[in-house]
Amino acid sequence: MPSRSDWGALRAFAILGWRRAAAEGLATLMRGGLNVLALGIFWGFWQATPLDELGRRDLTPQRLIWYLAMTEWIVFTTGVPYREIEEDVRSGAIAIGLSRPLGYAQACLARWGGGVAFRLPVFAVIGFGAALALSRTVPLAPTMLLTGLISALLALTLVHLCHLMIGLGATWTGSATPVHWIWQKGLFVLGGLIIPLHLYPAPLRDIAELSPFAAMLSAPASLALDPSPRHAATVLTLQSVWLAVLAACAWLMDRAATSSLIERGI
Amino acid sequence: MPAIYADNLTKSFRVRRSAGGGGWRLSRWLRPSPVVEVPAVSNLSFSIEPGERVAFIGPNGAGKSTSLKMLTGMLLPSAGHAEVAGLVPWQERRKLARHIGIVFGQRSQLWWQLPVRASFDLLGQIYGVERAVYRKRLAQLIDGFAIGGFIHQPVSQLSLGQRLRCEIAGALLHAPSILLLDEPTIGLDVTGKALLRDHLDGMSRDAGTTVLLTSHDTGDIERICERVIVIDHGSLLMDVPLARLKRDFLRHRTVVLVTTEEAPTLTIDGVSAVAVEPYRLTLAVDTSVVPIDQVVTAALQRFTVRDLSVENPPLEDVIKAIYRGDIADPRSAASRPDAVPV
Repeated sequence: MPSRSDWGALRAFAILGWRRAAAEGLATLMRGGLNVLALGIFWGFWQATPLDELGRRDLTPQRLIWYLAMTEWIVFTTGVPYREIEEDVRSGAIAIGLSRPLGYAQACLARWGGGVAFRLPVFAVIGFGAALALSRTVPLAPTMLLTGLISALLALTLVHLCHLMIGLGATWTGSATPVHWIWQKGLFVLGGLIIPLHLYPAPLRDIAELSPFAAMLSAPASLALDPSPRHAATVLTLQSVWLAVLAACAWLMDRAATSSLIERGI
Repeated sequence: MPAIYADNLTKSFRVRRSAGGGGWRLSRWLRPSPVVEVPAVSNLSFSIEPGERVAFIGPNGAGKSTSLKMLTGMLLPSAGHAEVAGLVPWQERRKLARHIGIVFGQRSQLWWQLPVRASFDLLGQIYGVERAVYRKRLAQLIDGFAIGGFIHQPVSQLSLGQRLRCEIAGALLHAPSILLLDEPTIGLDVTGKALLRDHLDGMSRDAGTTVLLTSHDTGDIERICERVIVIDHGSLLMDVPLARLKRDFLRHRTVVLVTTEEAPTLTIDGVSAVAVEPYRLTLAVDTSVVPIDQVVTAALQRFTVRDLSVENPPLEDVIKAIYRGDIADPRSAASRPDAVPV
């Protein structure tokens, strides 16, 4: 459990993350533009697709565009934070991180949390504004909006834990980019970035639903397709289980990476 | 209790000896080259009392930075023991961080895109400095390091000298009792170095901070430190007060005589004339052959001396002599590798 002074340090790193994100104004806007472009393309694509032939009443262009808006919200809010750790390992600047009274991994997560706090509302306004303009509907009832937000925050926590582990992997491999490349493809395909997982063919669907990627993208976005309280409870339970698993993995990896660094030297 | 204590501190790195050739040859995978232990620091022992200001010097690859990293907990020793502020660094790294300030001359602990003041505010929060204490401390550091003129500029826009002053001020924000500096003046011009040394000297002296400094620049050592630990090939070569190092450990010292005689000459074994000018004689004295007091006595007997000075050599020369193993004074116990001054 962090001490009172640790909380102060976590807050300081969160402020740093916020400021860094705020300083990337133009880049954020460009990413927002890409988000809108992707939503526009898929809006046209879903409208041209005979979705009724799939025999699923929940699959309308309106719901699918909100599904995509949710998954893209998480992806665009995250960015590629693992690169910060990779750069710190490569340059040796991780030594500075290790010389502070707060764990390096905790500091990273706090900094990223600050960045998320800035980007999350920005991309919500951009992405959901575009989805609303295109579909002219809101899939979630006002009472379910909070559930959607909690699910998105859990998803972002899971994604950032993965980035933490990928970045710390650079301690051994020197470069984390190849691992991130594979992980990202896994996230996009098995996480259901564009298409809901229940549209996947049977074996792939089962694999995807059992993977942690489903809890990162498909689970929160599926609230746009099925906003019932029962489904929401299933989604939050699934995400909580994966949160416990990935947090334990990240903790072990942080310990191993730190041990390796102070054994081998920086 | 010493501020810093090292007892037989040893570090070896396991390195795979390169067999040469291409990176993807099958033989490299089937028969990997052997792993060898490369010693970086061997049985290093020393003790630094609170408030002492000590230079840690040695040629490149001597093990200075490796030792410093072990003392900050960033590197696990292969053997031996160390305590810094009463803590074992590699076991209590995060706790130790609150007691020490670290400056790496080639790495920044400040955030490049933020103004210096914002970086300081963050450091204050990271180290849990109370708001009122922080404000007072910041005012002292701004004054002490003369950084008020650029404290609102982003770190990326500062000159190297300005940045290094801010780095050291940042390292002192949480009032550490021990300051560890790794090449703090590297890359600075003469004026920048002098300014930084003056500020560092004043601030550390006023606060009674223990300083352990590695530097290749003898000016840093002369201005800031009172004691010198010399290491080479990872082993302690010498641990002496700076004044004693300069006094005792150089073969040649310079004696300048101003006389009433127009053409003074002096012939003694171990003494040679460096410059002979009217009424002035400059001598190089080999103190391993003849003690300096004999030379001075002989000069006073032979000439009417109007002025006399015995000049210490530049520390640079002393250190070069030590690295060469050209240590002149066999009388001093401190010339032995295991010597520690009292």
